[in-house]
Amino acid sequence: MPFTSRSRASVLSLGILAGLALALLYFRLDPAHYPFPRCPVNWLTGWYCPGCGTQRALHALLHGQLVRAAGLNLLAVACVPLLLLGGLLEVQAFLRPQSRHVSWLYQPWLGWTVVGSTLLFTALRNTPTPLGSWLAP
Amino acid sequence: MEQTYNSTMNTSPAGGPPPKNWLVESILVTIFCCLPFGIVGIINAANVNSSIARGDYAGALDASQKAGKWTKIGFFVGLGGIVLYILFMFVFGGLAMMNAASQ
Repeated sequence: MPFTSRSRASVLSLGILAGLALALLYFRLDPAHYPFPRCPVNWLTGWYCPGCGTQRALHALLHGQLVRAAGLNLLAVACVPLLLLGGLLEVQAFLRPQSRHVSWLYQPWLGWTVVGSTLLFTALRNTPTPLGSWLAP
Repeated sequence: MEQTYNSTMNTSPAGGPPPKNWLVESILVTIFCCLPFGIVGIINAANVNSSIARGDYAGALDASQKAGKWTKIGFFVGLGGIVLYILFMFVFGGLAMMNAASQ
């Protein structure tokens, strides 16, 4: 199947280009100062969703400010290793579907840890406590 | 000839690759698209993993399809929101400029 693998490769290179363009945009422009799209959940309800602060955290992370990034969105920063390593596995499986296997990404504890920490993080960052205000963006 | 599909390493009846679990994609949608759909995707992704560990291939396939569905819904709704937001900014920015020019 040379054609399918070639079209897969072109989709992948387009995706990587788009990702690099976004990274460059986040590196150059601080979302705190430019009107990047606002979170609709926060706009409608006033609550912080698990994604609030990700754009600013990414900007801080791209500038090496790990502590500032963690204060903006701890969940996003904590997920970076998983997303990078898991993303590599997904890229590999995208290029060669037969190479997909039961890797560490298929550990039940990993999936439920992500579920639990996302829900806990979302609940805690909306509480009026010192911890809550640190977890809030 | 007896065949059992309860091995944790061999989840599909044909011994082929396991279904995609969508964990990476659903986390990305959760932290970037700001919508609750991503969390539904993560829960289904965790269900894929648990089903595979149990050796339940049909359950894993079902959870995989649900995880993919919610991750894609979150992605496209989020993308639509961003496009609407940009259009909104352009329209209002244009109106503000016309106002400034007419004064």
